[in-house]
Amino acid sequence: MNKDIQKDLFNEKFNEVLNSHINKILLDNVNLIKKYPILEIEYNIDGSKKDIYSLASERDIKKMQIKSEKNELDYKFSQNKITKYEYEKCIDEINTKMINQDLLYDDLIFEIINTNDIESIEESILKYNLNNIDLSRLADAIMSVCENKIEEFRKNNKEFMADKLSYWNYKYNKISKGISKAREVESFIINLTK
Amino acid sequence: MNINIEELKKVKNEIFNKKIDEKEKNEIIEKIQKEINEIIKDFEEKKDNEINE
Repeated sequence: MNKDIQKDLFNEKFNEVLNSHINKILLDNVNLIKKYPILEIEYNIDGSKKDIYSLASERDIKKMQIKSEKNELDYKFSQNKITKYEYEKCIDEINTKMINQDLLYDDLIFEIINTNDIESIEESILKYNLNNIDLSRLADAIMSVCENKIEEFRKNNKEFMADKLSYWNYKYNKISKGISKAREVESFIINLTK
Repeated sequence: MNINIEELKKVKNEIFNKKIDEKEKNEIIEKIQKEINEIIKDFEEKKDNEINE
């Protein structure tokens, strides 16, 4: 079997094991979260993993911050405080930042859906007692993650040869299960708004 | 701080390598390899079935 497939499978499995170990390590070593600030995106300060609502709402906040940065740049450019070159360079950087951030949050939210049972996810949402606006936002966030994941799968698995068909099916089944669970969570949230 | 998947993975790998000893790491890798071999065996069987149909 193709070496790329072996490598891909290994990375997939290793990441699962890595995440499982890190979850345990951080609960016993919360100081690591301060030492490595990027961990704050996925973990609370007590070492526990953030739940789906925390991730989705933080993603929204960070998106708004980026939009605000863009607006500020637009203003500076309109006031001739920066050159066109500087403006375009900064806009590129901000867009890259937004894309990378979105991909990361998509991954983290999808991982929660994949690795937890539906009941735990639903309980984690119920505890916030969200109003209809926040529930709709959360449902939209989950729908957006699903669409992005499907699109990512399509892009990364466009061509496959006969000997990769089984592997394509394996990847497709895996992502389908995650999407199916995500749709269940989405329906649950929408029902809460009624 | 760069907020991206690769940066987060890099940090997790760093922590993992510091906290987990070599023996346990090798055991983990061996276990993963066994799992992958089973999955690949399954692919091969499915491929053979597809060809035979």
